[in-house]
Amino acid sequence: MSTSVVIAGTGVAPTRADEHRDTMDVMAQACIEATRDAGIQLRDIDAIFTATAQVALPTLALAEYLGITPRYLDSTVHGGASNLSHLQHAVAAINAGQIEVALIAYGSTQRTALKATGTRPMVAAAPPLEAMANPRYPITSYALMASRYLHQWEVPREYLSAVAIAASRWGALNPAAQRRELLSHEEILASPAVAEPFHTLDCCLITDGAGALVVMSQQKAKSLGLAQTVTIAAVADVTEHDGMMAMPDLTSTGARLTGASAFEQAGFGPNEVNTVQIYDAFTINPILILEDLGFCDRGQAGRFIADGHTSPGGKLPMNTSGGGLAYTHPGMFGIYTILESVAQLRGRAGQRQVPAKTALAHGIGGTMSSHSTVLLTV
Amino acid sequence: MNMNKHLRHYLGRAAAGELVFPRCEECAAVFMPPRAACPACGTDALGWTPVGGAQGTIYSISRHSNEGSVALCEFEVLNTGTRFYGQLVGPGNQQAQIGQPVELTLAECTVSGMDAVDQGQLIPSIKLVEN
Ligand SMILES: [Zn+2]
Repeated sequence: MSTSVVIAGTGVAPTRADEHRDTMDVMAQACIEATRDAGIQLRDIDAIFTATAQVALPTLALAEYLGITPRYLDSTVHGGASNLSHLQHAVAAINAGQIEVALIAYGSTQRTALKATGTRPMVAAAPPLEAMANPRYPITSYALMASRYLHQWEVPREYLSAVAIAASRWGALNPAAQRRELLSHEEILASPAVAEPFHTLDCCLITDGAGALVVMSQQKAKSLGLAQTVTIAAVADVTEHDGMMAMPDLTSTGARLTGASAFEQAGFGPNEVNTVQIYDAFTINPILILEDLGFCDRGQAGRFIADGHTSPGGKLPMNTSGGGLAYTHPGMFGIYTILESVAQLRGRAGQRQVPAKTALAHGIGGTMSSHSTVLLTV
Repeated sequence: MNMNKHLRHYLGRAAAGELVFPRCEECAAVFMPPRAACPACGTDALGWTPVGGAQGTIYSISRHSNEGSVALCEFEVLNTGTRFYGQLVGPGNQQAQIGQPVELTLAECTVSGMDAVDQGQLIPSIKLVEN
């Protein structure tokens, strides 16, 4: 099974640049690159999907800036899963015959803003009952999941470090990655403590960046003579909570539901997935998500990662770009899970290329609150 | 989430020295945080139940250097699987561990600049119970 809708082009704005950068500029750069990659003109776009914390009414601003007048607008925002959900919405609109060519975009200049003002634009605010407990939102929320996980499964803190170490191994292979040096457990523990058990090197980077996807029907792609397309085999979304008081289980997430749904839609299971890209805002994230998606039994993913199975040369290459921990993290990483999946499936991943016919991307928003799982095939 | 009317009620009662949790009048579910409808049965017929001195245990904890500890706690009175998130106040909070017994209490809010909550206002919090 698949949706007969494809990703036909991708664009990425660089993570690093010396000049002052505006969110609209990095988004436009990624969008223009994506249309060129798909062999279309900007005016061919008739649907726009975007999410960013740094532009008011972003679909309108981006459409005008790109000089286009789309007839389908979607600025769905639920954190880092948003751009994956946009894919689901684009598939539905294309299959319903409402649109032909969708542009999905994300961009942020968190690093520029941090340097200029000392603060960075928040993509979400703590629920009031959490804010009054004086946490380091959202880090504390994920730290609570990590503490519970280590306690519940009686596993060592080294398993959290293993996630950042694996990310650094992939980052070393990606010339676009912000962090290219290899990390060790000792270096992670030597970085400043943030919220126990997390140190700063358990937390994602703060960068600029933007990404864009051009999505259309398989038929349309064929008519344009596009050879290197990636098929969207499944998309599934869920939310089970916003804040931590309502999260049902701190060591099991909504990815249980999105994974099961996505694999059912696609007609294949975890064993047939060649590479996974999981939103790694913090080191605990890929551990919980690998278990919930069915790649590991509960309590086992930390050891799986520490044993090297997700590192270069491992049997389940994960976060091959370096992820949010080593490659880039401009506020929300969701679109990069798709971009890297597409790069791997098209054989365009350079030194970090792995053999892949199927890929899984997983986005997370809020404090493990929204989940979106996407399966892609070639 | 915004500072909605249910949160304002909850915090107003705490500021007056009274600890309450939301309780469903249809199915008797007691849950956190306060909301517009019962998460167990869906009704909007909701009231409040007194929970002063409620006993619980630490489900997870994160210590913040020099800034106190934040804990997520299980309380028997919360009969729907939801938990209480709060600052762990009083002696021993920097050494507290998962599984330790705690009690619901009132403590002064340490955060400034919040909507509808002043610094120093009494808010629901958690303290360790001496064995
Ligand atoms: Zn009820």
